[in-house]
Parts: sequence; C-alpha cells; structure tokens
Amino acid sequence: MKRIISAVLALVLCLALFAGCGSSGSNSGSSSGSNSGGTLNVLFWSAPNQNQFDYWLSKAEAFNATKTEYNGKVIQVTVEMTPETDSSEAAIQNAIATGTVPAASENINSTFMRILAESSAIYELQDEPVYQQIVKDRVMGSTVDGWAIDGKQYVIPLYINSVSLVWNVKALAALGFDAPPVTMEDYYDVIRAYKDNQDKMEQMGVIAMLPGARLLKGSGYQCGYDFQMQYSTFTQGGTWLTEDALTVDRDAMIKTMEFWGALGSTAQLNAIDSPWTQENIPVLFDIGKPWDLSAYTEAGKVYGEDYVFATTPVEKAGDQAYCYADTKGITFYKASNITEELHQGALAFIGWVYNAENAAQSDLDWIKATAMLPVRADISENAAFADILAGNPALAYFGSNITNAVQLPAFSFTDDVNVAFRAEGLIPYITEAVTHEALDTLDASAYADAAIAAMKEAGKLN
Amino acid sequence: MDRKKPKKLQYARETAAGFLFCSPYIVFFLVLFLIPLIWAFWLSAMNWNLMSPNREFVGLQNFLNAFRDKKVLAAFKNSWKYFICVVSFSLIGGLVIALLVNRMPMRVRGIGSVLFFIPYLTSGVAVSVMTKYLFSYNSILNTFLREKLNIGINWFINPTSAFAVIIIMIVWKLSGYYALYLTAAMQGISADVKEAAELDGSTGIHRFFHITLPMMLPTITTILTLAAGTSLGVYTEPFLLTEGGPGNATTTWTLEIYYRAFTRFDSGYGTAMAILFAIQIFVTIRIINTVMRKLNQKYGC
Repeated sequence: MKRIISAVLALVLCLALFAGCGSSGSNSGSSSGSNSGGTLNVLFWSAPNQNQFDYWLSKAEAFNATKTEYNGKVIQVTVEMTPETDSSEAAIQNAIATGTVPAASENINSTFMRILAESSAIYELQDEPVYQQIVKDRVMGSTVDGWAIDGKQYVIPLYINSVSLVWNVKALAALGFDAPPVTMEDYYDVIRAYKDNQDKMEQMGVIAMLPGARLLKGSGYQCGYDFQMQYSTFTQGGTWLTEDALTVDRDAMIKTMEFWGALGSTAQLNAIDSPWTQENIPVLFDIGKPWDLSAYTEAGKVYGEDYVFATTPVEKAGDQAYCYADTKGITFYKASNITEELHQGALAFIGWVYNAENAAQSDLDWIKATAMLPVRADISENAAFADILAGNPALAYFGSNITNAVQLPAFSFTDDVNVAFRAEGLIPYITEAVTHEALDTLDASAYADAAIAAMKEAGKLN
Repeated sequence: MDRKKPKKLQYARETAAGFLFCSPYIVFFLVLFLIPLIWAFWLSAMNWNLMSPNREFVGLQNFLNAFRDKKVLAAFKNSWKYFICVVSFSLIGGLVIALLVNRMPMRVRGIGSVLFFIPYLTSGVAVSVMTKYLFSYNSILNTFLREKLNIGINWFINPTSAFAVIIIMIVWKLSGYYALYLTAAMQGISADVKEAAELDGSTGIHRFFHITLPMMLPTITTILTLAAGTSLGVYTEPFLLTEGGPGNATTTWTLEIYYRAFTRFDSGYGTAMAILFAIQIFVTIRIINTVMRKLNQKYGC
C-alpha cells in the first residue's frame, strides 16, 4: 500500500512539474490549423501591432463569411499577432523549429525572406495562379522584381515605406530657402547658411542640423537610412552587394560618408528626444519615415508648414534621386505541420483579399488602418486612392516615390556586411567628423577602405 | 544466509522508495537541464539556423571561430569589466545602505529597507527608457550641464561614459537588494558579541572591519555569487541604451548571443557562444567560492 501511495505521489509531483509546459488549448496559437468536421482551420499571423492585426482580423471575418470551401471543407481563417519573442523573425524561427508555424504570415522583409527561402521553409509562388492573379489585379507590375531570388518569388509584397529625408520648413525659410536642397551644391549652401546663422537658429530653438545619434548605431538595418538611399542616388541606382562579391563603388561610398561628414559639428550625436514632435523642432533635417507621420499629426505638425519630405540631394541637376524601400510582404510556410489543404486554404484567403473585386478596397482599408502604402505601381494614378492621397500630401509624396525606392540587398549575410560597414567605417568616421567645423569635411577615404575590408571579411566576399 | 535475504530485500525496497521520491527532481533535471544541455552541445557542433532541413556538422569550428571573433572577445573583456564594477560598487552601495538602515530608528527601519529595495523591483526596460531620456541632449541634466556649467557630454558616444551610465543603472538597481541581505546579516550579529568587542575596546571602524565584516562573510559570499551571475549576464540595459556600442564598448555575451542566434539566425554559433559563456560563469563562481571559503576559514565565524 505504501509503495502504491509513494508511486502515486511521485507521479503527481512529476505531472505537476510539467503542467505549465502544456498547451493551453485551441487559443495557444501553437497549432496552425487542422482538418476536422468539414472545416479547414487556417492560422495567419499578423504583425505584432494592433493596427495591422485589426486589418487582418476584419479581412478574415469577411472571408470566413463567404464560406469558401477547399476539398469540400469550409476554410476558417484565424488571425493572431506574431508572438513578441524579441522579434517577429525570432518568433517565426522558433515556430518553424517547434512545428507550430502558421500557414502564412505578413511582415516579412526581403532579408528574412531569403533566409527562409534558402532554408526551404516557404513556398515558391511564381507559378501559383493566386500569386499571378494578385500581381495582375493589384497592378504590382515591376515592383515585385526586387523580391525575386534567382527568378523565383517567395513573397506577396504587401506594403512599402519609401524612406527619404524630412526638413524643418520654418528653419529652412529662416535661412532663406523655400524648399529642401535638390543638388549637393544646394545642400552645401544650406549647411553654409546654417553655419553662418547658428545664433539665429538657436534663438529659434534649432540646436543642430541633424539629430545624428542614429549614425552611431551598430545595427545593420540602419544602413537603409544612412547608406542605401544616398549610395543609390550617387551611383544612379548602382548595386553594392551580390551573392558572392562586394561590388561597392569606393568613390560613391566615400561621397555617402562625406554627405554626413560635411555637417561636422552641426550634427548632434547626443540623442534628442522626439525632435519632430516638439513645439519648436530643434533640428534642420532628419531621416523621414512614413510610420512617423501619425506622431507628427498628433503633435499638430502640418505638412508643408512645419515639415516637408524630400529625397537625398543628387550630384547634378537632372539625376534621379532614390529612396530606401522599407517593404514587407506575406509568405506561406512549408513545414511538417502545414498540410497541402492548409496551404491551399491560406492561398485562398490571401487570393480573396486581393482579387480583382477586393484588391483596391483592401489596399484602401490598409492605408486607412496603417497609414502605410500598399505595393502598387498605380498608387498615384488609381482613382480609388485619389481622395485619401489628396487629403494627405505627405502620403502622396511617399506614393510618388515607390518606383524609386530601393531595398537593402537581400542576402543572408547582408546584416553581417552592414554591421561591419558601421563598426569599421561609418561610426569611427562620424565620431571623428563631428570634431570638425561644418564643411571642413573629414576625408572619408581611409574609413571607406577599412569598411570595405571589414565588409568583405564579414560576408566572406570577393 | 536466511537472515541476510530480508535485509537485502529491505535495503532494495528502501532504495527504490528513495529513488521514487527523488523521481520528480530526476525527471525535472533530465527534461529541463540534461537533455537541453546535450542538445546544446550537439547544436554547437552544427552550422544550422533551426529552420533548414539541411544542417552541416562542423565539429569544434564554431568554438574556434568564437576565439577569433572580435565581438566575442569584446564581450569576454567587457564581462570582466562589468563583473568588477558591478560586484564592487553594488557591494559597497549595499553595505552603505545596510549601515544607514541599521542606524535608523526602529519604527522607520522597515520603510527605509523597502524604499531602498524599490529600484530592484523596477522593470529594467522602464529604467533604461528613463535613463535614455535623462542622458538625451534636451534632458534636464544635459541642459543644466550645458547652460550652467558649459559642459557638453556625449554620453553614449564616449565609451567610458556609456559604460559608466550602464554601471550606474545596474548598481542603483542592485544595491538596495543586496542591502536587504546585509541588513539581515548585521542584525543577526548578537548583542553579546558587540558588547564583548566594546569591552575589549573595539568600536567604530575598528569594530566594523574586525568584528562585523568577518561575521558577515557568509552573506557576502552569497551576494558575490548572485552579483557575479547578474553582472556577467547583463542584457537589457546595453540592449536598450547602446546596442553594445559605441564600437563594442558596452557589448555583453548575452547581447552577442542574441544578435548571432536571433537576428542573424546562426543558431549553432550562437549556442557555441552560450556554452563558452556558461563556462566563464562556472569558472568565475568557482573562483569566488574558493576564495571566499578560504576567507571564511581565516576570518569568518
């Protein structure tokens, strides 16, 4: 009897120990779907923010109401936010490793897409009728070309933020300029004017030309803001990284670094807290990101009166200016827990959201929900978007730049190469450059050479 | 012969019962420690991102790469800097707070202890955000320094000041916590001992160094072990304030392991780094325990 009681007690203790490790049922998000009772339960992960979750939830509810069937089973889409385990990417990695990945998710950038594709963790889409239909019905045109890997497509591009520069209109006017600089000569004129009128600027509350703390950040993705768009502009769309070689144009890299270095001591490297939402904007220009627009609006800032967006200055008038494309899309996971039926169910859902009948409305709803622009080549011409863009000139500006927006090169080693560029090139250069007077630009050649060597080593590149 | 058999049987029964009662811990140890540990060693010998069906066995290559990796070497070097600064300053801070609390009137002593303990309960994220604001260009501190004293410090650009800010944050957080242990240890010293010391003419600083401190050595050993673990595993503060920069001045093992395993998806290499980090913690704590045991034997009670 004693032994039985002991055994029962031990068993109970063991079970109690691991009780917390179990699944908490159907709401755990650990299952991507199952076939049961004529229903196909498809799990979709939205980005981990309320606006995007709400958008996808409303689309899933509308789709579920259509009672669309596959193989005689009604497709039911469930939307969950991607779990916030440090990053969305880490959450997806964890889900793939543990067999709990959803059938599809949004918020995938091109670098992570390549890692997933190289890991055979996502489906190829170029031959899927649904993909072809979406590209056609959403008028995506050549915007999908930048996502291809060896001619294959793995993502349905969803939205694009064309990042450029934002300028303080009142400070510019006080310096005698009615618009942001278009060429590098104009840019130097602005710096010169600022340098000559620093007292006047400080009286206005403008304490620096640039809040430059960002330039010292080591994270690779920052290169989109302070390298990719300037480099693309200076090389007129040139590339700097291929699958096995660093093809960077040394002169353009030097020009890019000196674009920031020319600011010298007028760049403030100490962090300035929320400069663009302060009553008196304390800087002359900054990186202009579409997702900051709502904060500007909430702070009462008016486009054209307080701030205005502009592309990076070009070397000579008539050159094409480029932006950085912060763009993300939808992928469909290939994993042991995703059956062919679940995959088809997920395709049917996304295909319905962006079919000929719904695509324009879905994209309009997306803009309203997120204030980010969908990936469409016709955004500036399509009548469906005319009203919302007319009422929001900042958004219209970003829309006009979609075709000139360039993503960071999408390779699994891109981040390593970017981190090396910052650690060995940009950060040491900027730290030294700010000790110089504005326009007494520190020569970036040695820093660029050090960066190139480090980038080659980091990416094991030729 | 016949008398031996029941004894053996009883011994076997008792042993089985012992194992049975230990089984929850054995299962816990196997499932949550031993199996993951073996799996971690296996993963550290792989070139794998946890997602691909293809994984490449690389043997000890990940470990060899770690010894040549600038970031790993910086993390290793910084971990000692964090260890020395955090352990010494938080211990001194804790001692000062404990002495203060110990001298407080009895009726406010409890409140005093709780007030000093509050920083430990505050979220590291919240503290980091506040610190980031405090040291930003337009903060009250920097405005005062700039306008009244004509001092402009680029806090997170200078490696020394960036490191110092993080150390201050961690010490501020931990001192009150360690003070609780030290206060309890101080109050545990019996009045007889104090009285005897006084009779022998030992008072003030002499009594503190020759009576109080030696009697607190077991508690200090515990604090050193806890502080070593905390200081070597610093993550939130540099992650939110400096991202390990400027350069690699504030980076840590945990930060580099996170970047490697979860932003660059090099899980095998990240695990190799984690194992090296675990070895460093193990060795450090062994050294602390050995040194403190000797000190306890020589001076302690």
